[in-house]
Amino acid sequence: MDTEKVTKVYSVYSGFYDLLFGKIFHDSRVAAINLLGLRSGDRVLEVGVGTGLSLPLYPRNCTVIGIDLTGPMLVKGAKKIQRLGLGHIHLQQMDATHMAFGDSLFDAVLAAYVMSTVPDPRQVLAEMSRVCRPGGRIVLLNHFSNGNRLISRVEKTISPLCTWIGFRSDLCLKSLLDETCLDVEQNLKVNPFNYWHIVQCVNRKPAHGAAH
Amino acid sequence: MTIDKELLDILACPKCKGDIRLNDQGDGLICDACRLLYPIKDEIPVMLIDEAVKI
Repeated sequence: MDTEKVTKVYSVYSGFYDLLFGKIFHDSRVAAINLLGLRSGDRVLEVGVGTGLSLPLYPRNCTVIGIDLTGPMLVKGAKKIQRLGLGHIHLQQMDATHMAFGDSLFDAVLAAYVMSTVPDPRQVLAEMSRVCRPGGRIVLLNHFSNGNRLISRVEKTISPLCTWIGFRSDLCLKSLLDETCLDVEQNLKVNPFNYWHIVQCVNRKPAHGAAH
Repeated sequence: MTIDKELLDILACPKCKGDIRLNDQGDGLICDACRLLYPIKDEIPVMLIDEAVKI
């Protein structure tokens, strides 16, 4: 999957994304945001915020920045912000592999249903770690490939189909986290069908120095 | 267009990660080091290197 394809697929989705994905994934989004462990005054980044399905779920005493690669998705999100009066939320169009933020600015960073839709998930995670402060929380809500060999084979087989709809089914959590300075605190399986994981990490990057 | 001050403080050029500033017209963000203008469309800053305008 390349960046152009991602933009194209998700521009098409923007029209009916809420209808298709809103209800099904609601509970998982609530759980993922809870695992960010937000406190009053925290600054939080959501990567791949899309049409802003999760925006009403954030506490109003935090500053929330949402980024997405796809303009039409963000326009929908901006309308939601206006309609619901969510003045603590700001949206920007960005490529998650080249974020337009300085280092260590966020107390918590969430990527929900993102890692399987981007061409370079490791680079996205490296950027999430860079912009998150040392000791901050990074939460991934995603499908990760199953250790079971038979299921892995099925996932590899359906992978081209998944790529066509804008999703990769064979992403391995262990190799994604390899060589990062993220410590997994919790790894929970969530609905629908326990196919999804919420992975809560603590950013163990050094207080001063390299991004990861 | 007004842009939140906190937002201006945390936004950086996606290319060099250096400081950016709001242009005089208020419809774009400028990185003086890279000489690039990032447009603000529908009140959303478009911080994409590929869509930046050379100045």
